[in-house]
Order: sequence, then structure tokens, then C-alpha cells
Amino acid sequence: MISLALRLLLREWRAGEMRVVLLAVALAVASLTAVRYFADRVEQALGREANTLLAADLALVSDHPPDSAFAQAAEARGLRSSQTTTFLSMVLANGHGGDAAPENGRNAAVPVPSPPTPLPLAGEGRFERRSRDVHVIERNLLTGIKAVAPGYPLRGELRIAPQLFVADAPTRAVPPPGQVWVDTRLASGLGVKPGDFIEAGAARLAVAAILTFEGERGGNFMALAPRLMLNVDDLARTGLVQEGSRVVYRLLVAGEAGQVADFQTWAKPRLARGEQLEDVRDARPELRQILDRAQRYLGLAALLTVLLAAAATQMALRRYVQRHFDQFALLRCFGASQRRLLGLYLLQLGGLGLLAGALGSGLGWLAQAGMVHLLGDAIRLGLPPPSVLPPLLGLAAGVLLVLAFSLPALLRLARVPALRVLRRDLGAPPAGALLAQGVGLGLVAGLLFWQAGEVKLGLIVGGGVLALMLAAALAIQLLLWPLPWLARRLPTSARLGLLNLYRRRWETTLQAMALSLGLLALLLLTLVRGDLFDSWRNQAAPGAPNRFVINIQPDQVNAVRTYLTGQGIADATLYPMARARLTRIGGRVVSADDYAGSDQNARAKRLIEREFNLSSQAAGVPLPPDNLITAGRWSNGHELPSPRDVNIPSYARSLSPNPSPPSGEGGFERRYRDVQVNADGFSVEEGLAKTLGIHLGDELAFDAGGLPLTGRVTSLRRVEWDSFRVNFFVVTPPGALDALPQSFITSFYLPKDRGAVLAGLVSAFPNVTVIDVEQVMGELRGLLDRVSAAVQLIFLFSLAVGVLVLLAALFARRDERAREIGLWRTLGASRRRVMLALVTEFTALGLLAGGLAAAAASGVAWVLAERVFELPHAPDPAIWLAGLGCGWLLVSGTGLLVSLNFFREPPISSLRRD
Amino acid sequence: MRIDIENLGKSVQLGEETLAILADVSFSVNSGETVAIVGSSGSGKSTLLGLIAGLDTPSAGRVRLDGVALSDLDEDGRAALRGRNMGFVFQSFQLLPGLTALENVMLPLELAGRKDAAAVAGEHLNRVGLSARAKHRPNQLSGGEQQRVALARAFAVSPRILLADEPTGNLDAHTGAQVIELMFELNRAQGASLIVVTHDTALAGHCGRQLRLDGGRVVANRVVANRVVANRVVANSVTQQ
Repeated sequence: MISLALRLLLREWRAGEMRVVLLAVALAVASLTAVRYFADRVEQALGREANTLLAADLALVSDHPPDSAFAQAAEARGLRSSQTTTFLSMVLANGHGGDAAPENGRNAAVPVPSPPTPLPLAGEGRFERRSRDVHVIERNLLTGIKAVAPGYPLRGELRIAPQLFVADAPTRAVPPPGQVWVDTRLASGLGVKPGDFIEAGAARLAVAAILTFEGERGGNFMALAPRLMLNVDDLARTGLVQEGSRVVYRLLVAGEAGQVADFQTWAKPRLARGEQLEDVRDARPELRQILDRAQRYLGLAALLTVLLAAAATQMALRRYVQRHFDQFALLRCFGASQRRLLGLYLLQLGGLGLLAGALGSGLGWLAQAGMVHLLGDAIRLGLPPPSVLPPLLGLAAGVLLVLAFSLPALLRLARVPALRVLRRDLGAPPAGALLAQGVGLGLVAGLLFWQAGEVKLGLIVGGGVLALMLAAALAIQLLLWPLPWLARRLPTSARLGLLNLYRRRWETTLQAMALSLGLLALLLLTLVRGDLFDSWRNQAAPGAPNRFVINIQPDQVNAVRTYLTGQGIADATLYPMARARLTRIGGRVVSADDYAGSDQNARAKRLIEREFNLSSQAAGVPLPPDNLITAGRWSNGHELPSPRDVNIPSYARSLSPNPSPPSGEGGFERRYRDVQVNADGFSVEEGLAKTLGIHLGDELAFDAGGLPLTGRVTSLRRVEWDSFRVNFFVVTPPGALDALPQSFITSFYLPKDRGAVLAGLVSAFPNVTVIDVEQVMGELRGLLDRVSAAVQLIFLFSLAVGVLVLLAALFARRDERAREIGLWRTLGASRRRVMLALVTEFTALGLLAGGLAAAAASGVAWVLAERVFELPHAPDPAIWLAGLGCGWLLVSGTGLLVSLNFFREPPISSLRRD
Repeated sequence: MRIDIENLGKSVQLGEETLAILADVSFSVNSGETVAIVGSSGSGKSTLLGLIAGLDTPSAGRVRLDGVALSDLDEDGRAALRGRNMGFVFQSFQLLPGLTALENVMLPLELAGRKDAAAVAGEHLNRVGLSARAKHRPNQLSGGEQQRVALARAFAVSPRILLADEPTGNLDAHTGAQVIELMFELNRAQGASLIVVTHDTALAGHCGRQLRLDGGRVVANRVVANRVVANRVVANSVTQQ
């Protein structure tokens, strides 16, 4: 039976529809497996690297030394543990030996901002890492100092070299007491080498080695800040960690996964204020977010490809079944049992599915290799080899796709009566096919969910497409309704074309649905890809601000502005900034205890626990372009800017400045103690408002270092956090912060070769700090370009299958079309008239399908952008133009192409067509 | 409409072999005459009909309709000629499955740009006794009913020539007889020339002349004088072979 099945399959190959099925399924499988391969490898690599990045399996991050109970609990569970202490401080070269006293407080620990600004898209702990990327453009360097204990790191390794620029080697040790390791940048910046001395606070320490690799810093991606690593025993000697110093403490633990999970469960409810747990999921959030989105997009593309392939397969098989009524009846007539015939056809189609699966898996492997090649060094994760799972799944998916849709067709075929050989009017009863169709749909739905990986994406796409198809059927029927009326008013040829559509209402509906599904997928992928690319482009756009200057004192504002303007930097706006803690919302006293339970509440809890930055607008200054009022009115009453697409490296938000309040300056508190500020016209970032339950009209009360500030919320804003510009959660009306201690901040773009501008700035205003994000942005840009290329590759697969669906939909009526054209011409229609009728019909069909697809794509793209990709989505009217245009061009083009043959052959051949 | 067939031949290339389907066929059909083309399977009957209709092009000879040679016209010219002058009835009915009975009958009228297509088609469906089935699709009609729809479609354009290819070939004897009666009755009313290809002796017997084909050649051209069914039979013999 197998050889007979194969022989039949080979014969079937000559008829076009088998080729359509093979191509559609192979492309769908290719897309599925490529994405699966890719996700698999990236996921493995990210997971593996994440542990190294964390230097542990789990970290307890805290702004105070964590309770020793945590370390004891970890030990009790058999976990290894270690502690690190990190903070920012000035480090000076001191080659002459001898203890040096701190000079003018310059060696005091620079306060590290409180834990990270909570972000909707990324994990915690970024800030601490990012804040280390701060350095001052000066010979004395602001350095990230890390004190470690023996045993560090628990995961990954350190590498050191005896001198600058010589071969390094891994080490399991940490710097011995009295000695430090410095990284290349610190060594170069300070001009020190092993054997020299440096000053960190009150301690004079010997440089013992060059630290060449430190996993925890993401050593290969965003390592911008100089690093000094010292032994924990030397920490006290530096005198840098004092009461009130902003220091990040980490308790690192590592061990068996079960033990770690157990410790995590135990520790979670015991976390005090300022403490949080960080696990591997939180490592490298910036990279993870980009790859997550890319993977989601690829997943979406693969998912739509499966849907399209399913549609193409079903249409091709429908035609296949219709063509096989006679063959089946004849074989039954020859004595083949229904069972045997079913087996024969199942074998044939199963073989086809297997072939398509194998072909698709091969293509998928090539595609993922292409993607990895395109990504190149950008992710530098050292991708592990692909596992054997994807090709196996590819084969299974191939067979499943073919069988899912051939089963209903086959069951229908099986019921063709043998009597059809005598009475050709006898067909196959459609009853029962519905059930089988349900089975087919169920199988494909399963495949969708498997592919989507997450239920939400699967449900949105699966449910959305199903709902849209039903709505589309209704809409098509409604749109067809006025066609006869319209047709009566048109010339004969056009009338024929339109009537042809109207008279086959149900077939037209099915065909338009299939066509619009194909177009929908193409538009949707284009739209979402557009959103994604736009967001990526905005994220690291050339010319985006690449320098931040913080800590500008009020009396320096004019001088700094004059200096920058003098250097040709005219667009640097200086924003006032004050740190404050939210104490009341609408008269209700808020405390972290009010928010417990959900993730959202955990975020709210952290927001309440910390101080965040307030700013105020200068009178007459319009809303920044990356802000959009979403409710209420901006207190300055300026016109609102139009919405723009936004986006975001998550870590960039942590760059939102959090400079220290002026401290240690005598008299400051006395000066402000009796001031009470009340200023209506607060504008709150909408995400913060949602998290904390702040509404328009609520009165907010802040405590700014003991000084109260109250005001009513008059507007909510959406902020493009990732525009690399300065932005704030809460903006107060002009002058509201004047009575509070404040400093100023600005950001601007400065080409790489103009470093002298910064040197001049720091030299003129030694207290200001410059944050350089140029390198980060450069790396990010490179990564995004490559991820974009990978996304394009998969998009091409979907595009190909989309076109196949269009072809299959038009091929489905090919035989009937041939007979129709033959008959028209027999009855006296000229070629021109037939052509015009066809053009009218295809135009109307294309516009109908294109319009529907555009409507559906707009809706689904919006839901996907908002719910799945969490990207801002601006409705784009051009999508209608694209939908209608593509619909018209593709349907007319392919439709006429399919029909052209019938013009060439004499009408009698068309009439004799079986 | 007068039809003159002059030394008509049709051959096809099968690999290196040339197969002659028709050879040197000549005869004429006068306006209003009814002619049956008979012969065994493969004798070239349907090919001859296709050439007369201009649905196919001959390898040799020519077909003239009222003196106009079809071969002098291009495909569109032939189509226009068909649209103005010819009606067709096929063995397999050739109704478009997606259209209702009424819409099938309307089709040639619409192609001719007639605004009254629906009314005329409805009238002709009524004449063949199928006005009650106007909204039914071909697969909802019996073979006899489908052929009656095809007859209504053929006569709806008031053709000057009716070409029928085995019109009873797919029908049982009783239904076939009904269809024959109807076809001749309609033809009588319209006074068209009728050329019918058939195996059916009963049907052939209704015609004023029988032309027998064998191996692609005309082997007999016989006038059936006493069975005149057309209203204006001119039964003169024409060139034979």
C-alpha cells in the first residue's frame, strides 16, 4: 500500500495543489523551527550568562547591610553565600606612598541613588549596575568601588592580568587586604600600573593586578565605568562607608536550584524596606528586553505563518477533494474498500506532510544560522549549538498541518458514493465535515499555542483571527449587498464583473476571507514590525542625547547655560530637580504597607519607600516633546504636542537623574524649615499614577527633606522614558520648587570628538558630574540593527506564505473560472470585455479584502502593541492605503495571471475541461 | 443565416504524428434548415460543430456565414459574430454552477449589454416551464431541467443559428424526447437554422437533412423530405464529399 500511495503521490505532484500544500507547509515549518531554534539557543545562552552576570543564583540587594539572618538561613539550606558592597567614590593616583587624608570631602562617598526607578518592562537592580557607568571627565576618576570577600564570585569568574595589555588568566582569588585590582580604564585614566598606589578615601592601597573581566558587570556589553575591587577587610579603612552614605549591599547565594528556590520563598516575606531579591531573570534587562521583543515578534510571525499555511493548505486541499470525487468513486467501483482508500490517501498526505516537515526544518535551520550570523558579535553570548528538538517538532508540525486539514477533506471523500461513476451529479455529503473541520482547527489551535509559548499571544492572535473571520463574513455580505445596484449603473463589462461577485456571494465571502487573512498577516507583520523598528530607532537614534550633566547648583545655572551655548550646544534645557517622598494621596496617608500582594503592588510599595525626583517647569516653557498629556491640562496651558512613538532601553530610565540633595551645608535646614509650599498644577506620569492609584484632582503631599510640598494633580502625562532625555515622574508648576533644596540637570548630544567641551565644563564647575552614555548607545544601535535583520528574515517567510494564500485562494476557482471564460467567449464576449469584467471583479475583490484586512490589522496591531509588545502604537492612516493598494494589486495581479492562460486557448478547450 | 462549409479540415499533432480529425468537408446549410450531423464516436462530429461555431480554428478550408469567412475574423470578431447570431446547447449543459437558473439564462443577454436581461431571461425560463426554478442552482436541478435551462439560454438571444452538441446525450429517453420537442418547437418559433450533432436517431429523424460523418469525412448527405420540421425547409442537395 505504501508504494501505491507513493506512486499516487508522485502522480498528484503534477496537479498544482500538492505543490501549494508542500510549499505552504514547508514555509510554515521553516518559520516555526527557525524561531524555535533561535529562541532555544538565545534562551540557553541568556540563562547561562545570567548566572554569571549575577555572580550568583540569587542576590539580596539592599541599601543597608542585610540582616545576618539571611546569610544564616542560606547557610542552613546548604547554600554558599558571599557579600559585596558597592558605591561610587573618587579615586586618586598616589604613587608616593603614605596614608593620605581625604581632601575637601572629595573622597566622601558619592551618594548612589536609591534602588532603581521601577520600570514597567524590566527587572530591578539595573540602577546599581548602570550607576557604575558614571565617570567624570577628569584625571581623578569617579569610580565604582566594590568590596568583595573570599569566595566571590559564586558563579562565573574573575580574570586578572599582571600588567596592562598582557595576557590575562582566570582566578578564584580576590584582592588580598591592602591591595586592589583596577580595571584597564581606571589604570589608564589614573595613569597607574601594578605596583603603584591609589587613594580611596582614607586608605592608600597598592595596585596588585589589572582586572580584565568581571562577569557581574556584564563584562562584554555595558562596562563603561572604571572599577576598583578591594578586599572587604579594607573597607572600614577607607572611611567611605558612613552613616547616610549611599551604598549597595549584596548578599549573594548559590547552590542547587531547589535550595535556591526554597531560600527565595523563605526570604521574600521577610524583606525589609530597601531590600529586594534579584534573580537571573533580572540580569541584563536591557539585552533581555530587546531579545524578548524580537522573540515575541518572531513568534508572532511564525504564528501567523502557521495560520496562513493552514489557510493555504485548506484551500488547496479543498480543490484537491473536488478533483478527486471521480477518482475515489472509480476506485470504490473497482472494489477498494472505504477503509483501504482512506488509508491510501492518509499515507499519501502523511508522506507529503513529512516531506514538507523535513524540507521546512532544513530551511528553518538555515534561517536560524542566518539569524545567528546576522546577530554576529552583537550579543556575544557564545550561543550553544541548537538542540535536536526543533527539527523533530518541525517534522511533527509538518505532518500535523497537512493531516489537520486533509482529514475533513478525506472524510468527505470517503463518503462519495460509488454510484457517482454512473451519476456524476452525486457528490459527497457535507454533513460530518464540520466535526472533522473542528478537529482540524483544534489541532492547529494546539500548534498555535505551542508556538506562541504564552497563552496571551496565542489567545489574542487565535481569538482575534477567529472573531475577525466571523466579522469579516458578515461585513463582506453587507458590502456585497449594494453591488447589483451599483452594477446597473456601470458599463456591461464592469457590470458582469460585479454581478459575478454578487451572484457567488458565499464563494466570494470565502475567497475574500482567505484573501483578507493573507493580507491581514502581511499588514500586521508590517505594522508591528514598524512599531518595533520605530521604537528601536528612537531608542538609540543618532543625535539622541548622549551626555547627562547632573548636580548643577542653582547659582550655576546661568553660567552653565552660557558655557554650553558658547560651545554650540543650544538645545540643552536645564531642569530643576528636588528629591521628595510621597506621603499623602488625596488626604490619605500612604505607606508601603498599603500595597501588598500583587506584582503591581510590589512596585507601588517600592515607589512609596523611596524618594523620587520632582521637577518644575519654567514659566512659558512648553511641555517637552517626549511628553504627552493624556488627561487633564498642562498647567502652563501650552498646546499639547502630537503623540510620537517612543522607546526605550529599560536601563536608560534608571539614568533619570537622582542627584544628591545638597547636604552637609550648614543652615540649609534652618533656612527652609518654616516654608510650606502649596502649588496646584502637578503633572504626574500616567504609569506612576496607575500604580499608586493617583487620579486627576487628587491632592498630593510630599516630604522634601522635612519640607512639605502639596498640590493638586491637574494632568497626567505619558512619558517616553527611553528618549534619552531628562524626564520626571512628577512635574510641578513654575516656581513650586524654588523654596526647596534643588539642583539642575541637563542632557545633550555631543559628538565623540568634542570631549574637550566636557573637560572644560568639569574644570569650570568641579561639582557637576557628567554621565556618558555614548558607548552604551553605540553598542545598542549595533545590536538593534542586527536584531532587525533577523526579524526581516522571518518576515520574508511569512510574506512568501501570505502570497501563497492569495494564490491558493485564486487557484481554488481556477477550473470554474476557465469554464466561465470559455462560456463567456462562446456566447460572444470579446477578450477585451472578458478582461474588463475580470479586472472589475478582481479589483472589487481586492479592495474588499484589502479594506477588511486594513481594518482588522489596525485593531489587532493596536492590541498587540499595547498588550503583548508594550509598545506605543500610533494609528497610521497609511495602513488603509497600503491595505487597499496591496489588496488591489496582489489580487488583480495574481488573478489575471492565473486567468491569462484561458485567453490563449480556444474556447472549445475551456468547455471540454473536466 | 446561410452556412457554407468549404473543404474544411482539422488535424492535430500528436508527437511526430499528424492525426486528421476532419478532412475535406464541404456542405451548405440554408437559412431556417435543420441539419443533423450523425456518425460514430470519433468521426469528427463535435469538432465540425466547434469549427462551424468558430470556437476552434480549422487547419484547412473555411466556414462562411452569410458569405463572411470566419477565418478572416480574429478571435474577438468570431466571438462578436457568435454573440449576435448563435445559440448553443451542449451535452454537458455547460451551466455555470455558481449562478442560478435565471442568472445562467441572463448571461448571454448581459454579455450583449441588454438592460432587459432579467425580464427576457424570465420569459424564456417560463417558456421552457421552469419559472418556478428560476432561483435554483444547477446542482439543484435534474439533468432534464438543466438542459431546459440551457435551451432557454440558447434561445434567449434570438439566434439565427442554433448549434446543439448531443443535447440528449445525458438524458433518459423520455426526458430526451421532451427536450427534443421543446428544442424544435422553440426553433420553429424563431426560424433559426439548426445544426445538431447526435447519436440519437429519434433526434436526427426530426431534422430535414442528415449528414453522416465517418473518419472525418462526409459519407452521406440525405434529405428527409417527408419529415420537415422547420417552417422554411429548403431541401436541396449540396456538394457531397
